Amino acid sequence: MIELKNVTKAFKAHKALDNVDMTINKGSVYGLLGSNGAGKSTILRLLSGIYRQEGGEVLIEGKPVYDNVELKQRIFFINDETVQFTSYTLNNLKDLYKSYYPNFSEEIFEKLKTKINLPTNRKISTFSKGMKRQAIFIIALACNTDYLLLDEAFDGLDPTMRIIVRQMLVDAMIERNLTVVISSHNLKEMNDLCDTVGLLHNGKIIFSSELDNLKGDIHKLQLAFSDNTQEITREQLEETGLEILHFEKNMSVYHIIVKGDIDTVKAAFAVKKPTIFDIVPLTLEEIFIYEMEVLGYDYSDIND
Amino acid sequence: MTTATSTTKSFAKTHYKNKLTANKKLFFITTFLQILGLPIISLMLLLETKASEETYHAYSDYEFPMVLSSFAFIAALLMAIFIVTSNFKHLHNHAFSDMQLALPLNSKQRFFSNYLAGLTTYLVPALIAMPLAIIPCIIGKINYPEYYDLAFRYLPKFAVIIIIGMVMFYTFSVFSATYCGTLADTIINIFLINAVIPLSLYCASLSIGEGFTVSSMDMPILMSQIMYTSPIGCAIMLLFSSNTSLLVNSPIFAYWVILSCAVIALVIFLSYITYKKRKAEQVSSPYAFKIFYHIFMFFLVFCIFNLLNSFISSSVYYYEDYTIEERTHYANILPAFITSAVVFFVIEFISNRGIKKFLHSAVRYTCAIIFAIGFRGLAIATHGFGYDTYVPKAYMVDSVSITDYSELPEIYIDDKELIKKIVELNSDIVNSNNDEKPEPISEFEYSKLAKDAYVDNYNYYDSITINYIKKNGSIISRSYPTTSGIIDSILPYIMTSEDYADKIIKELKLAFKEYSHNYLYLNTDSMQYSIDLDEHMVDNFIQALETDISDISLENFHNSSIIGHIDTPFLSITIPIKDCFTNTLSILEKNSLDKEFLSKNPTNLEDCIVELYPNVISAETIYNGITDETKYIIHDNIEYFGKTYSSGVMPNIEISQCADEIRELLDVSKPYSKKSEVGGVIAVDSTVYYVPIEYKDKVAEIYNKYKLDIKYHINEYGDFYLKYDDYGHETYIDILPGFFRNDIGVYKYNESGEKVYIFKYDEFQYYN
Repeated sequence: MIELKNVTKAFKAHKALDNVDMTINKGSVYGLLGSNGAGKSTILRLLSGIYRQEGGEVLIEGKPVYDNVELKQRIFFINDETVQFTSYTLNNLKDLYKSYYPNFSEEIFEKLKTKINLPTNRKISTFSKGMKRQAIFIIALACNTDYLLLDEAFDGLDPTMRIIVRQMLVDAMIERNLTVVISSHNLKEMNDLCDTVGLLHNGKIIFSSELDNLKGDIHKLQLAFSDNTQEITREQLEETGLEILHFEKNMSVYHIIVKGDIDTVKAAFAVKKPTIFDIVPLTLEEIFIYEMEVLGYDYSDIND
Repeated sequence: MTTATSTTKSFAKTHYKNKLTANKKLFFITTFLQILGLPIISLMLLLETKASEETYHAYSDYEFPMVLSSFAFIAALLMAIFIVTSNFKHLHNHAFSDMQLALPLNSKQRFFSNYLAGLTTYLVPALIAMPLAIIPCIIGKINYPEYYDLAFRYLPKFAVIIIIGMVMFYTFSVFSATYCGTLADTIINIFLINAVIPLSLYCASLSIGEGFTVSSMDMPILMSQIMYTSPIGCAIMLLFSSNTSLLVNSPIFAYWVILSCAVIALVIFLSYITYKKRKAEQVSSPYAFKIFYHIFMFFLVFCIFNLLNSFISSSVYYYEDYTIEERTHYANILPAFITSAVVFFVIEFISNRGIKKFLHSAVRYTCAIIFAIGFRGLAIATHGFGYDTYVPKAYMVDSVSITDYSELPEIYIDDKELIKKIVELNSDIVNSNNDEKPEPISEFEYSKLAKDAYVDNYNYYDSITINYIKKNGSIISRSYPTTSGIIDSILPYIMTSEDYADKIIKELKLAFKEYSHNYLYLNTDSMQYSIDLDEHMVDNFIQALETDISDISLENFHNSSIIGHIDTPFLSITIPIKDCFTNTLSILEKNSLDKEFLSKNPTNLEDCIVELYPNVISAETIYNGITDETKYIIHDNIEYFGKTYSSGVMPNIEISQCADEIRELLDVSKPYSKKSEVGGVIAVDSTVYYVPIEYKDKVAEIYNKYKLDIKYHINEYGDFYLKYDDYGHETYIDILPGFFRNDIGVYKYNESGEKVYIFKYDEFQYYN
C-alpha cells in the first residue's frame, strides 16, 4: 500500500504539494488527475524516491521511500522523457536495468519484445517517440517490480499500441498484483484503465475515490418542461440542498450536472414535474471538467 | 499473484561497472591524448638528445611535435571536465536525474560509484601512458647511462605529483558539479574554484607582506598552502621540484603528499555532503547552493582589492612639471574599492537579472570589502600577523640555506650546529632591525630632486635571504636588509664545515654527470675564464676541490680571499674558489688558467672606482649634471639600504692623490647601522662604507681638496662629453640628465627655473 501523509513539497516559494493525504491500495490502478502544475508529477517523483518531501511522510508498505534501496528495487518509474536512453540499444538497456532489478524477467522481456517487435540492436536514438515509449514499457514490465509509476507514459503511442500496452499492464496486474500509479491528461485512457482516481489542484487533493463511486455520485441530467414559461434556476435547485456542478439552459432543454445520491436528485426534480427527465452516464473527462469548473478552472473566460 | 522480492545487496559495484561501460568513449579519447602526451614528449627528448650529437640545432626538428604533445597532455588533463560532467549529468539534466535517482541506490552509493567510475576513466589512461613514457628513458639509458640514471631517480616523484594533481583537479571538478545546477555553471565554477583558491592565498600573502617591516619575502608567505590546496599549486610543486636537490633531500615532498591527500579527502567529503543535501529539483538552477556563489564573490572582492593595492602601492610618479608623487597603499584604497565594487555589482546584476536584490548585494559587498580592508589593516598593524619577525626554533629545522648575494653558494645545510648558529643569526638580525627607527638626518624634497637631479637606478642593496625547510616540510623564506659583513660572523663556520664540503661536491658531481661534459668557468668580478679540463681530469678536479674545501681551517679561511667562482652547466650554485685552494688551482693552471690573473689584487684602491660623499648617507645616489653636485636621498625606509652601488656616477675625487687618506678613513669606517650617525660615505666599487660622525670634517676636507673639476663639453656633433682636466680623457654620455633638447638647441634650467641654452644649433648646421 502507498500512503502519503500530510505531505508538503515546495519548489522555492511555490508550494507544489500542500498537506496532501492519499492512500493507494495494493493491486489497484490509481489515476492522478489535475491541471498543469497541480502536483501530479511531483507525487510520482516522491513515490519513486527522486524527490524528498519537506513535510509529512511518503510510505510504501509502511516504509519511507527516499534513499531506501530495498524498496526502490520494487518500484519502476517512467517519466515523460526518453532522451536519457538514446545512447543504448534495447539489449543494452535490458542489461543495464537487469543489473539493478533482481527480479528482472528475461522471459517477460522476450515475450513482450516479440509481441511489440522492436529492433533490439538498433540504437534507441534512431527510434520514433512511440517506439522509445514501447521500449521503456518493455523494460519496465520486465523489471517485474511491484509498483509501476507512469508519468504521461502513453504519450506518443499510436492507438493500437496503446491497447497493446494497456493489455500488458492489465496482464501484469493480474499475474503479480502490480500496483500502477498513472498521471495523464488523457482522461479516456484513465477512464478505461484506472479503478481509483485522485484529483489534484494547486497542490491540494480535491478528491480521491474509486471511479465507480465517483461516477455513481455525479449525474448528468437533461430535462425539459411542456410549458415553456416554466423555469427553474440554479439557485432554486441549490436551495433544495442539491450540489450543482454545472447548470446550462439550451433553448428549452436544461443540462445540469449534479452531485449526490441519485434517489435524492430524482426526488428533488420530481416536484418540478419535467416532461423530459433523462439521466445520462458521465465520462471521467466530464467529471474532471465540471469539478475543475467548480474550482474556477474552466474555459468560460476564453469563450467570453 | 506474485510479489517481487527485494535484496539487501548493494548495487554500488553494479553502478560503478555500468558507469565505466558508459564512459567507454571518454576513456578511449583520454587514453589517446595521454599516449600522445608524455610518451611522445619522452620519445622526442630521446631523439633530440641523439640528434644533438650530430647537429647543433637538432632541437628545432623536435620542437613542434613536442609542443603538440604538450597540448595533447594538457587536453588529457582537461578531460576531467568532460568526464565529471558526463558522470554527474543527472545533476544538470532533468531526464537523467529521473533515470539515475529512481535506480535502487542511495545517495552514498550513487555518489561514490559515480566518483570512482569517473576517476578510473580519468586516471587509468595516465597510468597507461606513464610507463610508456619510461620506455624511451630505458632505451636512452643504454647510450646515456648517467643522464637517465638521474631521470629515473626523479621520475617516480614527478609521477606522484602529476597523479595527485590530476586527482585534485578531478575532485574539485566533482565538487563544482555537486553545487551547480547547470552544465554551463559547472564548467564556469570548475575554472573559478581552481583560480580563486590559489589567488586568494596569494592575495592574503600580499596583505601579510604589507605588514612586513623587518623582513621581506621572495615567495608568497602562504606558498606551501598554495601548493597543496589547488591543482595550480600542484603545477607549482612540479616546477618547484625541478630543483631536484630540494625534492630529494628534504621532507617537502612527503609533507606535500600528505597534505594534498588530506585536501583531496576533505573536498571529497564536502562534495558528498553537498551531493547528499542537494535536492533533485535543483537541476537547471545555476546554483544548488548559492552560498558557494557568495563565497566566490566574497573572495573575488578580496582578490581585486588586494591585487590593486599591492601592485601599485609603492609606485613613484615623475611628472613633466618636475613634481614627484609617491602613492602609498592608503591612497590606493579608493581605486581598489571602486574597481572591486564595479566588478562585484556587474556580476550581481547579471546573476540576479537586474537590481531587484540590490540591497542584499550591497550588504554582501560591504561585508567583503570590510573583510579585505580589515585583513590588510590587521596584517599591517600586526607586522603580517607576526610572520615578519618569526624565526623557527633550531630543533624544528630540517635544513637551511642562506643567500647573501656574495660568496656563499645557495646550498641547504643540515648540520645541527650550523642550523643553530644560523637561527641565532636570524634572531639577531630580526631583533636589531626591529628596533625603533631613528630620525632622518635631513629631509628630502622630491620636487627639487625631480627638477635638477639624476636618480641613479643602479642601486644594489645588501640583503640576506634565509630559507628554512622545517621538519614538517613547510618552507620559510625571509629576506633581511643587512649591513655588509653581517654574515661574516657565520660564513667561516659554514664554509669550513664537512656538511658544506659534502653538499658542494655532491652538486658538482651531479652537474658534471648530468650533462657528461668536461668544461667549467671561473668567473671573477670582471671576466670569465673558460677552462677545458682534460677528459680524465674531471674526477681529479672534483677530488682536489673536495680536499681543499675539507682541509681549510678557520684561520686559512680568514687569511685568504676569493679569486673567483666556479660555474658549469647544470650547476645550480656557483662555488667560490679561494686563493688558498692550492690543489684546485694547480689543476686549473694545468688546464689553461691564466696565472697573470691570479696575481692581480682586486682590492687595490687605485684600481677601483672610489667615491667620497661628505655629510650624508645615501639610499640612492643623485647626481646633478648641471650644478656638478652629488646629492643624496634620505629615505624614510632607509633601513632597507645597507650599501649603494653607484656605477652611474663618475668618481668625484682624485684617488691617486688621496688614496692614503681614504685608507685612513676606511680603517675607521664601519658597515652602515641605522643607529650610527654618519659623517660621510666612501664607496669603493660596489661597497659603501660609512664614516663615523666624528670624522665629518675630515671627510669634507678631503672631498673639497681633491674634488675633480668636471666640465661639460659639447662637440661639433652636438654630443655631450665630460672632460676630466687632470686625465685629459673624454668620456661621452648619450643621455645627460638634467639637459633637454628641443628643435634648435640644448638647454637647461637655471636655479630660478629659466631656460638657459648651453648649445644652440645653428639652423644651417643642424640640417647639414
